[in-house]
Amino acid sequence: MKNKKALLWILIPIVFFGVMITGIVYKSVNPYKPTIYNYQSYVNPDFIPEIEKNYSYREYKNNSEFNNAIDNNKAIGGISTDYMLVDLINNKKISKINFEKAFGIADPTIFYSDQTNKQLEFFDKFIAVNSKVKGDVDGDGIVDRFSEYIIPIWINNKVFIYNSEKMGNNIPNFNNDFSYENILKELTRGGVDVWSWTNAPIENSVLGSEKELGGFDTTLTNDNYVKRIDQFSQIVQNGTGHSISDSSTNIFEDDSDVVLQSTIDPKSFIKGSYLFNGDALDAFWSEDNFSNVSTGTIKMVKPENSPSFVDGFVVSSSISEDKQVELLKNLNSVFFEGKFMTKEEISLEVTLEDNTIDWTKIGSLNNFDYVNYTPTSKGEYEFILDNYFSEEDDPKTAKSFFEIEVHQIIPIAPVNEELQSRIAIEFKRRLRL
Amino acid sequence: MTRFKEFSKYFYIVIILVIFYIPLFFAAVFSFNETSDKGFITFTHWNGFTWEAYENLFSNKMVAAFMSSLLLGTLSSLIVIIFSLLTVFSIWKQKSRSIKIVRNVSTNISLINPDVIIGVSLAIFFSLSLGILSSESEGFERALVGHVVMILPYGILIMYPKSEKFNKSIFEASYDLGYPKVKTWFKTYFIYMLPSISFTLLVSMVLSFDDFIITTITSNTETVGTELYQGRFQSWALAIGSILLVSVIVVNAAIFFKSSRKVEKDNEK
Repeated sequence: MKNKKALLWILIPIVFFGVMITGIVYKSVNPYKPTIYNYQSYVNPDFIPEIEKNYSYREYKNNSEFNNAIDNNKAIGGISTDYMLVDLINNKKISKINFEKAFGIADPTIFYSDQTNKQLEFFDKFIAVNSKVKGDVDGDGIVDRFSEYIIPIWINNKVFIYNSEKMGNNIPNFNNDFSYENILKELTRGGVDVWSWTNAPIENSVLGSEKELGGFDTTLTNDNYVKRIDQFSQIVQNGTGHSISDSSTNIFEDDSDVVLQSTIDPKSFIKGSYLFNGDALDAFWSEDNFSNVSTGTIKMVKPENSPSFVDGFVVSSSISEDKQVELLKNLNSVFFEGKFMTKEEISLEVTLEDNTIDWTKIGSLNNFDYVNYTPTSKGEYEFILDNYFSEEDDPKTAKSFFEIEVHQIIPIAPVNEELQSRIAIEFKRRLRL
Repeated sequence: MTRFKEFSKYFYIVIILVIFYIPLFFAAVFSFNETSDKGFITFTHWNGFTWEAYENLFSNKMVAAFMSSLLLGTLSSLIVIIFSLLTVFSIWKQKSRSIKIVRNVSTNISLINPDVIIGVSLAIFFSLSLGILSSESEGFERALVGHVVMILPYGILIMYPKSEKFNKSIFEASYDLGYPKVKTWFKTYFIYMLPSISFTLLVSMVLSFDDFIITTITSNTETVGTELYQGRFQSWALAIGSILLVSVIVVNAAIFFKSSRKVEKDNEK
């Protein structure tokens, strides 16, 4: 017994120092890799090992997480949403992309769809508003453009979806009125008694402007944000018959995947939700989420005024230009390959001898096949529209989830960090009232 | 009445075990549930059997995070044990009661402070003393200091009561036998403190593995804790839960088996 005890006291330090030495050796053989951030479920997982050859890959849920990561030097780059990026540009936290060196392209905008270019151009007027030469961030005397700072990956807008199986045979009739209030009223009348919303204070608050005469206004300021939240609450109250704070009817979730998942889930009480069109398309093909929910069960309604967004890759200004070019080249096969190709070039690359298409041959197409969000480049957008939607799965409906028209581009005006916090606090307060 | 008492005793134990293990049992079952194409775990519907969660648990990224956690845990435990041991020994030697009171109050302050406050304060301190952490460096040493600061009060708290009961005459007897100061310290005090040292080691490792806030705020180091809390809940987290559950059951079964054999042997005698 005594020997056993003595052996234990010898064994503990041996194991302890053995583990420590293993850790030291492992860390010295595998040095630290800088981190890139991306929204969760925003890249085909098959690509993650490729990214992790040179970088650490981190997924995040809320827009502000990425801004914080760039602000605190925790990320060298990543994917974020347009209206969140202007603040980072004006504070010189992200740098211009050297398209010439990284991709051999002088003007990348010629490859973008008209929708994407319209969306990106909207943000030009918010850059360096207070600098000596208006619009000149880097002080070279030339007015800078928003598109110089971002490699657009996805374009999306927000839509309503509902689970038709949970509504019985009730078919909603909108009478050509696709205002938020009417959509909510008709779907509620049709049987949607529990709603799920993404807890995105800015994106939800702008809906409130529909209550005002004179059109949809996506600008939130210190003077109008409380009013917009009020108006959003009124829309939800009038539409669903319940307040936004009534969590038995209106459930606000931080994670958009939870919103999507619960709407499809046959056992969930949630029957309708408000989310991105890309998530809606994913929900339309519901069988991978729930094997017992057939494709087409999820129906979509596009509001007349739906805010639109471009999500794109940006690079932290904390790294040198050479490192930036190296980063973009390393990630080319994952995110960007295909972004700067025409529809014909894509077709040549991916069409096999037997006329079938190999979607894995081009990185960005492979990603689309997984993510289902609408791509930003003209070539990809047109190629997917022509070739992706199979005849068996109601292609007309699936395409309606995917398509975003130029007239549907309604960007949200940038909101600075301070106002973001105020909106978030006020929105949270309303949810508790 | 006695039978009822016996039944109540067993019933209580069963209830407690059910409360402890039911959630872990479901986590273990659903760790084998197939996720959606986008990796979303469903808890209301069985999509099919898969080993995916266990494969992901042993991916390069998770192995790297696990190694960082191990290194952080062992290094911080070692530092905490050394500092705690020296601290409680000096308090034991200290005759002044007021100094002992000051010790109690000062170590408790960091115990009751939320981790986020310690993390932010450390980040400010590091920025001022070492400069702002670059996006291209890990800042492992910052995480290490952070863990030591967080765990040290626990180390002192664990070792203090045992140290206070140390008998001074053992020390004096060793001197009388001609042992030098350092050797005496190791032969008497250190040996006496070994049980609380090993308990401190265990607590330090658990606290270090569990930490997410301080590591995230002060450094770019990726540990099991930071991976668990980043983005959406991943299926590999359920795999960790089920591995822990199986380990606990196996260890408990082994202890139970060993002790029941001992009882049998004693009865035979």
